[in-house]
Amino acid sequence: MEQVFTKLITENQGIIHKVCNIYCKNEGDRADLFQEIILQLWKSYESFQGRSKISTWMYRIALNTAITSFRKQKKNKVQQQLSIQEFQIPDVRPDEDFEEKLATLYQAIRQLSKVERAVIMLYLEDKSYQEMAEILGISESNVGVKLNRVKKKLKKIIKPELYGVR
Amino acid sequence: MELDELKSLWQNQQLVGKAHSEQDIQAILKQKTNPILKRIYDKFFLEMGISSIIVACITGAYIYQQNYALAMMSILVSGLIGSVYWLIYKQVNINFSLDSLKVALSKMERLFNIYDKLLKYVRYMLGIGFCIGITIGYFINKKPFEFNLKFFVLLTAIVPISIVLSYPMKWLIDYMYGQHIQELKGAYLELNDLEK
Repeated sequence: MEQVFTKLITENQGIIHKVCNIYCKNEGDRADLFQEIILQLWKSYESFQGRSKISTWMYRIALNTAITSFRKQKKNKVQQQLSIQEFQIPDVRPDEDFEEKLATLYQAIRQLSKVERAVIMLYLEDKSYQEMAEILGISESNVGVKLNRVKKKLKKIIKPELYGVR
Repeated sequence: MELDELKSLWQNQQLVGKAHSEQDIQAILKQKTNPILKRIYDKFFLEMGISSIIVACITGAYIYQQNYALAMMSILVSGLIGSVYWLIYKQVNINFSLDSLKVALSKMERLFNIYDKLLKYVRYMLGIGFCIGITIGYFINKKPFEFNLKFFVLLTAIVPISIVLSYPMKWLIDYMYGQHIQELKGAYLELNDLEK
C-alpha cells in the first residue's frame, strides 16, 4: 500500500507544491507544510475509497492542513533534509515574462485571506462549483458569491499597469 | 490581462527542478512531526490515561478496605469523566479526509472554546469541588459538615493561588498560539458570514 501511495503522491505532487506556495512565504515553512500534508494524506489514505476524485481528496486534505495547522514563523531556514529546488517558482522556463507574471500572481494571492486563497486556487485549477463546495463545505451558490468577491479583490491587488487587468 | 488568462498562467506553471522522488516521499513518511493538533490530542489521551490509573488505584484501595460505596462512586465518577472526554474528542477530532474546510474550522473553533472555558473553570474548580465534596460527604455519612479550621484555612489559601496562577497560563497560551487562534477564528467567521 505504501508503494501505491508514494507513486500516487509523486505523480500528483504539483497540487501539494501549489498549496505550500500560496500559504507559506519561506522555504523552511514550505518544506514543513509539505511534510505535514504528506503525513495527513498518508493517515487518510486507508479511508479513501475513491468516493471522490483523487485531486479533490488531495485538495481537501492539503487545504485543511495548510489552514488549520500551526506553524511557528521562521526566518529563512536552509532545509537540509530535502532538496528545495522543487519549492521554487519555475526557474528554467526560458520565458522570463511568464516567470515574472507567475511570481506576481503568487504574491497577489498571498495577500488574500486564507479562505480566499483556497477559493481562488480552486478556481484557477478549473474546479467545478460542485467540487469547490465539497472541499470548502459551503453551498454552490455561496461558492459563486465568494468567488466573485475574490476575483474583484484579486483584480484590485494585481497592478493594472503590469497586467492590464480590466 | 483577464482572469481567464491568469488561469492559463496558473495551469501552465511547471514544478521544475528536482521534484520529490518516491524515495523522498517514503523518507517523509518515516519522519515524525509535532503539529499542534497532534500535541493537543496526545495531551488529551495522556490526561485520560493518567486519570484512569489514579482512579483504578483509588478504587482498588477502597475495595481492599471493603468500602464498596466509595469504590462504586469513584468508578461512576471516572466513567462519567471518561464519557465527557470521549464526547469532547468526537466533537473536535478533525477527519482530514472527510471533513470539509468549514467543518474542520468549526471543530477547531469548538476546541479552542472548550479550552478557553476549561481555563475559566479551573479558576473556580477548587471551590466548586469543595462544595461537591461536602454535599457527597453529607449524603454518604448522613451527618452535616464539621468545621475544620486548618482545612478551611488551607482551602482559602489554595483557591486564590489557583485563580492567580490561571492568568499566567492564559497569557502563555495567548502568547504561543494567540495569533494562530485569531487567524482560525477569522477564517471560520469568513465562511460562516457567507452562509448568512
